Amino acid sequence: MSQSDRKQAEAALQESEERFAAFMNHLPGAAWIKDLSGRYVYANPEAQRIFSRSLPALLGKTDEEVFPPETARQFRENDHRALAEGGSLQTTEVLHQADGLDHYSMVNKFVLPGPGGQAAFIAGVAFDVTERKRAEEAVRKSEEELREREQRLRLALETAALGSYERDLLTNTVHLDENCRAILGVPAGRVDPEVARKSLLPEDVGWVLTVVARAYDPARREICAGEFRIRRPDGTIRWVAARGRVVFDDTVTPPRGVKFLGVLHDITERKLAEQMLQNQNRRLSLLSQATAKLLLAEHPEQILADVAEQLPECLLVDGILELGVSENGRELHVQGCWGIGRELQEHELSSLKFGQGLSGTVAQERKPLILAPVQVSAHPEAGLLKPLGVKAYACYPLSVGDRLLGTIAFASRRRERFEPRDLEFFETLAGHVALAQERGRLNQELRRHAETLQGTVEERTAKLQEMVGELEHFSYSITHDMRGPLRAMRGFAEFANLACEQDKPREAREYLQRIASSAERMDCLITDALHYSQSVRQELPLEEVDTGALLRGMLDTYPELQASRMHVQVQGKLPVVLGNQAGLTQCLSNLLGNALKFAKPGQVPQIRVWAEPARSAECGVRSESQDGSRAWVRIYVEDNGIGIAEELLPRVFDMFSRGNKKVEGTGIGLALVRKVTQRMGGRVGVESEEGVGSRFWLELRKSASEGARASGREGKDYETF
Amino acid sequence: MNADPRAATVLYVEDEESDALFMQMAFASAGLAPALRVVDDGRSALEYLSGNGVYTDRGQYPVPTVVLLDLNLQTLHGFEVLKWIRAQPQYAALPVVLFSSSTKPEDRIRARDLGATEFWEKPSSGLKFGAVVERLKEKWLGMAQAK
Repeated sequence: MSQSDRKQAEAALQESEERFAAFMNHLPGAAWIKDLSGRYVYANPEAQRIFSRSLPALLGKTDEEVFPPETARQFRENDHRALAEGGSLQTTEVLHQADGLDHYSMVNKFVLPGPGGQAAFIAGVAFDVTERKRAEEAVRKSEEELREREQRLRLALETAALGSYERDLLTNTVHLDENCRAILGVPAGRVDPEVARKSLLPEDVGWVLTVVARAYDPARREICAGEFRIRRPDGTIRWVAARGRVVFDDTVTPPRGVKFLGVLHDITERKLAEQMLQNQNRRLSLLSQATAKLLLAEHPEQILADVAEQLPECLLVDGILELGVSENGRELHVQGCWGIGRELQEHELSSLKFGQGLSGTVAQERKPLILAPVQVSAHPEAGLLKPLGVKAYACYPLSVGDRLLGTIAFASRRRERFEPRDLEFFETLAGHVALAQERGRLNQELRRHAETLQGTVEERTAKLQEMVGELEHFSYSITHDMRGPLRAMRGFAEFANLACEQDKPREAREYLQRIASSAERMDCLITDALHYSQSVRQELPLEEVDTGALLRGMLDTYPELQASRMHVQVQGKLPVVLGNQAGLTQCLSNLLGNALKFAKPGQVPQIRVWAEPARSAECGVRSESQDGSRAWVRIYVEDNGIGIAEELLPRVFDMFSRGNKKVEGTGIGLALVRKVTQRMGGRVGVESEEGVGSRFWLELRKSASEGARASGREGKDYETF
Repeated sequence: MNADPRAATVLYVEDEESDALFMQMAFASAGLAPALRVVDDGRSALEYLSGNGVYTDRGQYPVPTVVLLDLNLQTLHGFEVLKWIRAQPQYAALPVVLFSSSTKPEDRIRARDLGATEFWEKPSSGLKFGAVVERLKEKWLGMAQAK
């Protein structure tokens, strides 16, 4: 090589090196060269910057001498890998830099050959990729977070049994997640885009679609929400709560809905719980209503009707049977029935002995009897309910304190069993029914007492008024009537006086005679008046009186009734009546006495006595005041005397009514007969024809034993008495 | 009106025997015995006034100038008799004096309502029946005119 050539070559080399140096100085990356022993032979300014070492501090030094051991090992390993893999390696290296941060560099390492063509140096070019690396890291992190969040959401959806529903409005496809499929009961596979609408119950479609439509309105963009029922393909009904919104594309005008996103929540359990709570509340309020109604009810039938009316529909009770304890305290009789109760009543007897049947068992043991389910019950009496289709049955004793009033049974055909709260309800109701019955009974008793009392007061007042009226009339009449004989006595006394003065003893004696007879009449009046007032006042306790025996006794002992003075013929047998011995004696003796008194002049009166059942028509008139169950009988006393004038007949029983002037009498006798008969609960009457005779009658009740005898011989006439 | 009271007739309806006797004695003392006719019950009074039965002979039983009527009669009460009398056209103006020991005001009112001419209380003594005859004479038996 010539000098000039050498010079030329040296100049060219220098130029090349200067070009290399300039190139390296402007490289936005770091570049360096190490010899095979790892000592730095070159580092450009960027390398010096990132290594935070000046060139002199680097040249001839190995990585181990310059960097912390970890970094040095990283560099050395990569250098070896580059050598081993045939001279080139691209990798990322981390370098802790002066700013205190780890910097990432994308490093290319390659082998430089020496003059012999063999590997002599290892060079590296590195670009700081920290920013990119960080961005990548951020993306990775956010992706991870997103995934995590998604997972959490899914977990939340699963935990909350939330189903998600997504409808792509552009492709009109619907995506349901597992939960949503489960809620709607949709099997895996393609989903009908109308699945949501088709799940709605017809009665809900209207309002749900109205609410959803508001979410589709870009002006509103509402989140729609609602609770409604859905019907699964298998027919089961579920309650769901749903929320949803539409996602809009606002890059177009007008904004276009692209997606409907919704969540569904199965709230069936909650709804059932709510419903149960409502039912419970309803039961409580019904119970209080029933109680209020029961408090007003008077009759057992009404109480039962109220109970039936008040029973909540949710109890599904199909029948109620209520039995009351009969008066003998050993039997139950049907007091009311409703629903199946009617059929039960037809099956069971109208009355049950204690211990007989289901209700009878309850009455005897005084414990509730619950058969549920009836169909498999081993109770010996359950057989009665089975043919009626009763599945659940509960019977309770109705009692107040220690006293059993009856039983009440509830039956259902639609329920397998009654729940504890149902039984609680029934038991409470039974308690109320018992109280209501007791209250009704006490009320009735009270009312009956009040009525009896009022009736008694009215009756006594009326009697008293009648008595006062009679006594007034009596006292007026008696004083008036007594003035007659008194006036006569006074007058005749005056005339007798005059006659004595005029010395007319015969006349005077006549007047004295008249005075005496007037006094006698006065005495009769007073005696009869006393009898009468006595008969009004004296007690006439009702007893059985054998009129036949009574009359025989009178005929045997009363001198004025002897056969020489009158002839009394008793026809047939006279009845045993409800009356009073003394009262009846007075009546009969007055009637017989009258017959004697009003006999035709010079004739021995013929008297006929007999009895006849009173005609029913006449009994009917008085049935309201008398015991209709007893038969009435008339005792007739007929004479062949002078009879009574027709116009006198209506007044013949009145006080001081006298039939005939020519016959002595005070006009009290028949009034007395009427008074006494009335006081024995009977009545009197007379038929008469002037000049032919009179027929008086007393109508009295037959005694109970007599009535029985009479009814046993129905159809026979009075001759059988 | 009759100038001679003896030509007049008083029909006395009375069932109390002693009162009838006192009246007869009073009429006798006044010298008017022939003017008095006595019947002892309501039914007989009706028969007398209508001239039936035993009373067909008007010579013996003349139409009365005045009727003296007791109230407490059997068969037919005094008021019934009065009612009957007022129902007969020929007796519309016949003087009827109710003659009773009744002190009840309602009896007087009833008597007036039924058309009784007067209501006299029966004297408490037989001797005082003379005063009744005097009043009858004054009012209806023509003596007032004679004075």
